[in-house]
Amino acid sequence: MTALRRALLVAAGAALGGLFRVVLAVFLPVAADDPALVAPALLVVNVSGSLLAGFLRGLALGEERKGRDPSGLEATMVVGFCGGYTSYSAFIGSLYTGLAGHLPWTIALAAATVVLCPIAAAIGMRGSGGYPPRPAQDSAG
Amino acid sequence: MLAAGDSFPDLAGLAPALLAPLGTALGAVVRDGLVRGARARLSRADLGLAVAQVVACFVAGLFAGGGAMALAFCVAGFAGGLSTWSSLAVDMVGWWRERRLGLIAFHGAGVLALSFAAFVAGRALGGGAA
Repeated sequence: MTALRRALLVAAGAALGGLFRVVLAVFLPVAADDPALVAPALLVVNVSGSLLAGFLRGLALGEERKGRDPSGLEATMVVGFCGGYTSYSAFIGSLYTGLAGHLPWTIALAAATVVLCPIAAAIGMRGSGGYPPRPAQDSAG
Repeated sequence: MLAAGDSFPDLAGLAPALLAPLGTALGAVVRDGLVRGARARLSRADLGLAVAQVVACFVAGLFAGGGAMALAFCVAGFAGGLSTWSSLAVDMVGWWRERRLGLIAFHGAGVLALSFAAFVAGRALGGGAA
Protein backbone atom coordinates (compact mmCIF):
# COMPACT_ATOMS: atom_id res chain seq x y z
CA MET A 1 0.00 0.00 0.00
CA THR A 2 1.36 3.43 -0.91
CA ALA A 3 1.78 6.10 1.75
CA LEU A 4 -0.80 8.30 0.00
CA ARG A 5 -3.39 5.52 -0.15
CA ARG A 6 -2.81 4.71 3.51
CA ALA A 7 -3.13 8.40 4.47
CA LEU A 8 -6.42 8.67 2.54
CA LEU A 9 -7.82 5.53 4.20
CA VAL A 10 -6.78 6.76 7.66
CA ALA A 11 -8.26 10.20 6.97
CA ALA A 12 -11.57 8.79 5.70
CA GLY A 13 -11.99 6.49 8.68
CA ALA A 14 -10.94 9.18 11.15
CA ALA A 15 -13.34 11.75 9.72
CA LEU A 16 -16.25 9.36 10.25
CA GLY A 17 -15.03 8.34 13.71
CA GLY A 18 -14.53 11.97 14.69
CA LEU A 19 -18.05 12.82 13.56
CA PHE A 20 -19.48 10.00 15.70
CA ARG A 21 -17.44 11.19 18.72
CA VAL A 22 -18.54 14.79 18.35
CA VAL A 23 -22.20 13.78 18.01
CA LEU A 24 -22.10 11.46 21.05
CA ALA A 25 -19.81 13.41 23.38
CA VAL A 26 -20.55 17.01 22.38
CA PHE A 27 -23.87 17.42 20.58
CA LEU A 28 -25.93 15.02 22.72
CA PRO A 29 -24.91 16.60 26.07
CA VAL A 30 -25.55 20.04 24.53
CA ALA A 31 -28.93 18.89 23.24
CA ALA A 32 -29.75 17.52 26.70
CA ASP A 33 -28.61 20.86 28.13
CA ASP A 34 -26.42 19.04 30.65
CA PRO A 35 -22.65 19.66 30.34
CA ALA A 36 -22.06 17.13 33.12
CA LEU A 37 -22.93 14.42 30.58
CA VAL A 38 -19.80 15.14 28.52
CA ALA A 39 -17.41 13.14 30.73
CA PRO A 40 -19.56 9.97 31.02
CA ALA A 41 -20.39 10.19 27.30
CA LEU A 42 -16.67 10.36 26.58
CA LEU A 43 -16.11 7.31 28.79
CA VAL A 44 -18.69 5.41 26.72
CA VAL A 45 -17.02 6.58 23.50
CA ASN A 46 -13.52 5.58 24.61
CA VAL A 47 -14.55 2.19 26.00
CA SER A 48 -16.74 1.27 23.01
CA GLY A 49 -14.02 2.45 20.62
CA SER A 50 -11.45 0.30 22.43
CA LEU A 51 -13.80 -2.69 22.25
CA LEU A 52 -14.24 -2.21 18.50
CA ALA A 53 -10.51 -1.61 17.96
CA GLY A 54 -9.69 -4.81 19.84
CA PHE A 55 -12.21 -6.76 17.77
CA LEU A 56 -10.88 -5.34 14.50
CA ARG A 57 -7.24 -5.86 15.51
CA GLY A 58 -8.12 -9.47 16.23
CA LEU A 59 -9.73 -9.78 12.79
CA ALA A 60 -6.61 -8.27 11.22
CA LEU A 61 -4.36 -10.73 13.05
CA GLY A 62 -6.60 -13.55 11.80
CA GLU A 63 -6.25 -12.29 8.22
CA GLU A 64 -2.47 -12.16 8.64
CA ARG A 65 -2.44 -15.76 9.84
CA LYS A 66 -4.33 -16.73 6.69
CA GLY A 67 -1.66 -15.01 4.58
CA ARG A 68 -3.91 -12.08 3.62
CA ASP A 69 -2.94 -8.42 3.87
CA PRO A 70 -5.08 -6.62 6.49
CA SER A 71 -3.40 -3.21 6.06
CA GLY A 72 -6.47 -1.65 4.42
CA LEU A 73 -8.74 -2.76 7.28
CA GLU A 74 -6.20 -1.60 9.87
CA ALA A 75 -5.65 1.80 8.25
CA THR A 76 -9.32 2.58 7.69
CA MET A 77 -10.95 1.10 10.77
CA VAL A 78 -8.36 0.65 13.53
CA VAL A 79 -6.02 3.61 13.01
CA GLY A 80 -8.64 5.77 11.27
CA PHE A 81 -12.15 5.15 12.56
CA CYS A 82 -11.38 3.90 16.08
CA GLY A 83 -8.46 6.32 16.47
CA GLY A 84 -10.65 9.25 15.43
CA TYR A 85 -13.65 8.05 17.42
CA THR A 86 -11.73 7.76 20.70
CA SER A 87 -9.77 10.69 22.09
CA TYR A 88 -7.07 10.97 24.71
CA SER A 89 -6.94 14.77 24.60
CA ALA A 90 -10.68 15.06 25.25
CA PHE A 91 -10.21 12.66 28.18
CA ILE A 92 -7.42 14.88 29.60
CA GLY A 93 -9.55 17.97 28.95
CA SER A 94 -12.47 16.47 30.85
CA LEU A 95 -10.09 15.65 33.73
CA TYR A 96 -8.89 19.25 33.79
CA THR A 97 -12.44 20.57 33.82
CA GLY A 98 -13.66 18.02 36.32
CA LEU A 99 -10.83 18.51 38.82
CA ALA A 100 -12.02 22.07 39.35
CA GLY A 101 -15.48 20.80 40.31
CA HIS A 102 -16.45 17.27 41.24
CA LEU A 103 -13.14 15.73 42.36
CA PRO A 104 -14.29 12.22 43.44
CA TRP A 105 -16.51 11.84 40.34
CA THR A 106 -13.64 12.95 38.08
CA ILE A 107 -11.15 10.55 39.67
CA ALA A 108 -13.67 7.71 39.37
CA LEU A 109 -14.25 8.46 35.67
CA ALA A 110 -10.49 8.69 35.02
CA ALA A 111 -9.82 5.40 36.79
CA ALA A 112 -12.72 3.77 34.95
CA THR A 113 -11.32 4.93 31.61
CA VAL A 114 -7.77 3.74 32.33
CA VAL A 115 -8.99 0.33 33.52
CA LEU A 116 -11.97 -0.30 31.23
CA CYS A 117 -10.41 0.67 27.87
CA PRO A 118 -7.73 -2.07 27.93
CA ILE A 119 -10.24 -4.59 29.30
CA ALA A 120 -12.66 -3.71 26.50
CA ALA A 121 -9.87 -4.07 23.93
CA ALA A 122 -8.97 -7.49 25.36
CA ILE A 123 -12.62 -8.59 25.21
CA GLY A 124 -12.82 -7.40 21.61
CA MET A 125 -9.67 -9.29 20.67
CA ARG A 126 -10.99 -12.45 22.32
CA GLY A 127 -14.29 -11.98 20.50
CA SER A 128 -12.60 -12.08 17.11
CA GLY A 129 -10.12 -14.80 18.05
CA GLY A 130 -7.19 -12.42 17.97
CA TYR A 131 -6.13 -12.32 21.60
CA PRO A 132 -2.37 -12.06 21.30
CA PRO A 133 -0.31 -15.14 22.06
CA ARG A 134 2.64 -14.62 24.36
CA PRO A 135 4.88 -12.95 23.22
CA ALA A 136 2.64 -10.54 21.25
CA GLN A 137 3.61 -8.36 18.30
CA ASP A 138 4.29 -4.67 18.83
CA SER A 139 1.11 -3.09 17.53
CA ALA A 140 1.05 0.60 18.43
CA GLY A 141 -0.83 2.81 16.04
CA MET B 1 -36.61 21.39 -1.72
CA LEU B 2 -36.94 25.05 -0.91
CA ALA B 3 -40.12 26.73 -2.06
CA ALA B 4 -40.46 30.35 -3.10
CA GLY B 5 -40.26 32.56 -0.05
CA ASP B 6 -38.44 29.99 2.08
CA SER B 7 -35.14 31.06 3.59
CA PHE B 8 -31.97 29.06 3.19
CA PRO B 9 -30.87 27.05 6.22
CA ASP B 10 -28.18 28.60 8.39
CA LEU B 11 -25.15 26.92 6.80
CA ALA B 12 -22.77 28.92 9.00
CA GLY B 13 -24.10 26.95 11.96
CA LEU B 14 -22.99 23.71 10.29
CA ALA B 15 -19.40 24.84 9.87
CA PRO B 16 -18.13 23.62 13.27
CA ALA B 17 -19.79 20.24 12.69
CA LEU B 18 -17.93 19.94 9.38
CA LEU B 19 -14.62 21.24 10.70
CA ALA B 20 -14.36 18.63 13.47
CA PRO B 21 -14.20 15.59 11.12
CA LEU B 22 -11.78 17.48 8.88
CA GLY B 23 -9.47 18.23 11.80
CA THR B 24 -9.83 14.66 13.07
CA ALA B 25 -8.74 13.31 9.69
CA LEU B 26 -5.68 15.55 9.64
CA GLY B 27 -4.76 14.66 13.24
CA ALA B 28 -5.11 10.92 12.59
CA VAL B 29 -2.84 11.09 9.54
CA VAL B 30 -0.20 12.94 11.60
CA ARG B 31 -0.55 10.35 14.41
CA ASP B 32 -0.13 7.49 11.96
CA GLY B 33 2.99 9.20 10.58
CA LEU B 34 4.45 9.67 14.06
CA VAL B 35 3.76 6.04 15.06
CA ARG B 36 5.12 4.61 11.83
CA GLY B 37 8.13 6.94 11.93
CA ALA B 38 8.97 5.96 15.50
CA ARG B 39 8.55 2.29 14.61
CA ALA B 40 10.86 2.61 11.59
CA ARG B 41 13.55 4.80 13.16
CA LEU B 42 13.50 3.81 16.84
CA SER B 43 11.76 0.42 16.77
CA ARG B 44 9.47 1.97 19.40
CA ALA B 45 6.04 2.66 17.92
CA ASP B 46 4.76 3.44 21.41
CA LEU B 47 7.03 6.50 21.62
CA GLY B 48 5.39 7.92 18.50
CA LEU B 49 2.01 7.39 20.12
CA ALA B 50 3.20 9.04 23.37
CA VAL B 51 4.43 12.11 21.45
CA ALA B 52 1.10 12.28 19.61
CA GLN B 53 -0.86 12.14 22.89
CA VAL B 54 1.21 14.84 24.61
CA VAL B 55 1.23 17.20 21.60
CA ALA B 56 -2.52 16.70 21.14
CA CYS B 57 -3.17 17.64 24.76
CA PHE B 58 -1.01 20.76 24.39
CA VAL B 59 -2.94 21.77 21.26
CA ALA B 60 -6.26 21.07 23.00
CA GLY B 61 -5.24 23.26 25.93
CA LEU B 62 -3.92 25.99 23.66
CA PHE B 63 -7.21 26.36 21.77
CA ALA B 64 -9.62 25.38 24.56
CA GLY B 65 -10.51 29.00 25.17
CA GLY B 66 -10.95 29.81 21.49
CA GLY B 67 -14.02 30.44 19.38
CA ALA B 68 -16.40 27.88 17.92
CA MET B 69 -14.27 27.31 14.81
CA ALA B 70 -11.04 26.81 16.80
CA LEU B 71 -12.81 24.49 19.21
CA ALA B 72 -14.26 22.44 16.38
CA PHE B 73 -11.18 22.18 14.14
CA CYS B 74 -8.29 22.29 16.64
CA VAL B 75 -9.71 20.83 19.86
CA ALA B 76 -12.50 18.39 18.91
CA GLY B 77 -10.94 17.78 15.49
CA PHE B 78 -7.15 17.88 15.19
CA ALA B 79 -6.28 17.14 18.83
CA GLY B 80 -9.02 14.53 19.04
CA GLY B 81 -7.70 12.74 15.96
CA LEU B 82 -4.03 13.12 16.89
CA SER B 83 -4.67 11.44 20.23
CA THR B 84 -6.38 8.11 20.75
CA TRP B 85 -7.49 5.72 23.45
CA SER B 86 -8.26 2.73 21.27
CA SER B 87 -4.74 2.14 19.93
CA LEU B 88 -3.28 2.62 23.40
CA ALA B 89 -5.78 0.14 24.86
CA VAL B 90 -4.99 -2.47 22.20
CA ASP B 91 -1.25 -1.98 22.75
CA MET B 92 -1.72 -2.32 26.52
CA VAL B 93 -3.28 -5.75 25.97
CA GLY B 94 -0.17 -6.84 24.06
CA TRP B 95 2.15 -5.41 26.71
CA TRP B 96 0.17 -7.19 29.41
CA ARG B 97 0.55 -10.48 27.56
CA GLU B 98 4.30 -9.84 27.23
CA ARG B 99 4.52 -8.82 30.88
CA ARG B 100 6.03 -5.47 29.87
CA LEU B 101 4.63 -3.77 32.95
CA GLY B 102 7.07 -0.87 32.69
CA LEU B 103 5.50 0.15 29.38
CA ILE B 104 2.02 -0.04 30.90
CA ALA B 105 3.14 2.15 33.81
CA PHE B 106 4.90 4.57 31.43
CA HIS B 107 1.78 5.08 29.30
CA GLY B 108 -0.84 4.59 32.01
CA ALA B 109 0.76 7.04 34.46
CA GLY B 110 3.79 8.82 32.96
CA VAL B 111 2.30 9.86 29.62
CA LEU B 112 -0.98 10.66 31.36
CA ALA B 113 0.81 13.04 33.76
CA LEU B 114 2.82 14.58 30.91
CA SER B 115 -0.33 15.00 28.84
CA PHE B 116 -2.14 16.70 31.71
CA ALA B 117 0.84 19.04 32.21
CA ALA B 118 0.88 19.76 28.45
CA PHE B 119 -2.84 20.60 28.54
CA VAL B 120 -2.31 22.98 31.49
CA ALA B 121 0.68 24.58 29.72
CA GLY B 122 -1.39 25.01 26.57
CA ARG B 123 -4.19 26.62 28.56
CA ALA B 124 -1.71 29.02 30.15
CA LEU B 125 -0.12 29.93 26.81
CA GLY B 126 -3.49 30.22 25.11
CA GLY B 127 -4.67 32.69 27.70
CA GLY B 128 -7.09 30.35 29.46
CA ALA B 129 -7.24 29.98 33.22
CA ALA B 130 -4.73 27.31 34.22
